Amino acid sequence: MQASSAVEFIQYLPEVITPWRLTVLTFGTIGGLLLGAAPGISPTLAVALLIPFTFQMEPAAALILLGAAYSGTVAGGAVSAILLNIPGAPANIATTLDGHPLATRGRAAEALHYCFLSSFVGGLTGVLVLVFFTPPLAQFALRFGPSHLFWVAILGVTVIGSLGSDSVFKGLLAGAVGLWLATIGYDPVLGEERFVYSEHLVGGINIIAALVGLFAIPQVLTMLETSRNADGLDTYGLEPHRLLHSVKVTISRWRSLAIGSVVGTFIGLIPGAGGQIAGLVAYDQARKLSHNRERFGQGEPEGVIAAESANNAMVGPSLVPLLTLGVPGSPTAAVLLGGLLIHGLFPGTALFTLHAQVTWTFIGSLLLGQVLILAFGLYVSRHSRFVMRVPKHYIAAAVTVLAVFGAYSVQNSASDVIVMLSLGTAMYFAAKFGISAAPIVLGMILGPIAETNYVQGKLIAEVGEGMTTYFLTGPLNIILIGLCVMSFGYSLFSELRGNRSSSVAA
Amino acid sequence: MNADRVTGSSGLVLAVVLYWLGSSASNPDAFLFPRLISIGMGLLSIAILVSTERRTTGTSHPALPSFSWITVIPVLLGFFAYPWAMETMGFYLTAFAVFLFIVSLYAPDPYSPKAIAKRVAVSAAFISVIYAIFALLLRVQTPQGILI
Repeated sequence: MQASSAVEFIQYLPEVITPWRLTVLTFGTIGGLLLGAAPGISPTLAVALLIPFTFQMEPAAALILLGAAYSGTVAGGAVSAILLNIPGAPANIATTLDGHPLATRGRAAEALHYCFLSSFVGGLTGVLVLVFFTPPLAQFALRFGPSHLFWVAILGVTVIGSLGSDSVFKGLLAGAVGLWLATIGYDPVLGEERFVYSEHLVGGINIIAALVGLFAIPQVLTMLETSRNADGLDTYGLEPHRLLHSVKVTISRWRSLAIGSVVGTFIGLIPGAGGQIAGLVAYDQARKLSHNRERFGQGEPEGVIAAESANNAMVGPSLVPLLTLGVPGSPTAAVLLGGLLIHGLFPGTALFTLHAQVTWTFIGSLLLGQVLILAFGLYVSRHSRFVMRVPKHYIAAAVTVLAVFGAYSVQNSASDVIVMLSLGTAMYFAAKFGISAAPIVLGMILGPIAETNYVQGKLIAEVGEGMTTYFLTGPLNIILIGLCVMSFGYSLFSELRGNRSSSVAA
Repeated sequence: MNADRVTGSSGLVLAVVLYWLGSSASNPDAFLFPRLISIGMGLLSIAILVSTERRTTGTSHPALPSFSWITVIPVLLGFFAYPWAMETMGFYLTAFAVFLFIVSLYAPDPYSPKAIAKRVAVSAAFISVIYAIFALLLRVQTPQGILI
């Protein structure tokens, strides 16, 4: 099966290299990078915005445009994550943790080099996995039932503790707040309203609005706090950086690159998990296995490499369950499904038989797209100094306008803008007490996954083998529970060791 | 009082309030998951308070943070007028006004006709680019208001 996949892939690869399709691919990639770099424009939103443009296109070109925009926005989201500490998309949250500290030390170009080089490796791995392992991996993804997805969400919760906050307990508390925020709105099973004390909360809190508010607004307020100091220009130094050195560093951090690519690939395969989890889980695992773990969070290149290789490696595999089963692996893949259906392409085996030309051309474009992302991304890196030289009050004003636009355009709702601004203001004050935004957002992402799968699993277990057997037995459950215990235990151990060290030092 | 005590105490109060709201709801079954979260939140808040108290005397406790209220309050007022203004005046006009408001109020250089002209020009240019991309090219719907 793998051999025939490879043959078909190579057979249809020249179909991408026509002038029109290459133009579409280039436009989609550059557009995706630019949209991704704008705070609040998520890959899902970017792909959704582009779908109307594909109505008049032939199916292959339409899918090339949407696929390029998907890959481009995921990679482009790292630009604002590194330069402004505002992730362009949920998938780039982990990139802020070490990318922005690097930028504040005048190493923005270097951080962007690591980002695009590791995105290239991760993205390439993901697309090759999509090409060669689609059928067996689709079978593997099918094994994930509600109990497994529940444990995947819990694994994400255990990762929360070590994300950005100055203590594990504060990180977990912030994650719990995020889990609670996700319950606002309607109960997924009984349809009961929960914590809806304002008309603006009726539909719950939109994750994109929350992401934009929690990251962008505190950043805006912090920039304005100091904008009148000195000459108002950002105080980051700007050191030029040689690409060759970045390539050497990236290759020397092969372990983080491998962790990111493998974690991103596997998480991309799990329907519903999404790239936001891939980046964070890979970052956490890379830190735990790194010799430089104490430097994570302070501008460690390994952090950027692991996060960016993971969220780009997720893109290809997230299309595996979509193309084979019609089950999207990420929210963006769900929008992409709409793009497929508009052009009369229905997921399943017919996609690889009746529409083989369109499907393999699309997959081929994803591979070429990785090369374009690398080329344009490195070009952008050379000009990052222009962004860094913009006075803070101008950046703050631009981010405010884009944040409002990003929050509003998700559902054309002013309520999302109000929620975004409220959450952002609250986050500004919470950050002063050592609470980080990343665990709150991750809690909001994981909350619905954990709750829905817990309730579904409970219903299945009650008519079958019982809760204990359903949730706690079976090889996949045991592996996932083991990972949860190890992840939480390690975080707790690190916290206690840190406390002891500070006591001894005192 | 230090920052960690404030965090732990606030978390504990939030956990108790959420548990109470979940328990006193008309259909408590719908609040099972939020109640579980509030229990976890309460335990974590207690852990923060205990770990703060257990730290050896002499170890530096994080002090209460300071806020630059005078700097922050004008932009917060601007934020909360924004949703109302965009539905009344129109999205792009409000965006222009907010952009100009922020760059004028928080500029480090003194007011001068040249500086004001520069800020107006940059604001207009930025909003024009946003309008061209999102309204003309991508045709994203935004509130119209009395203008654009």
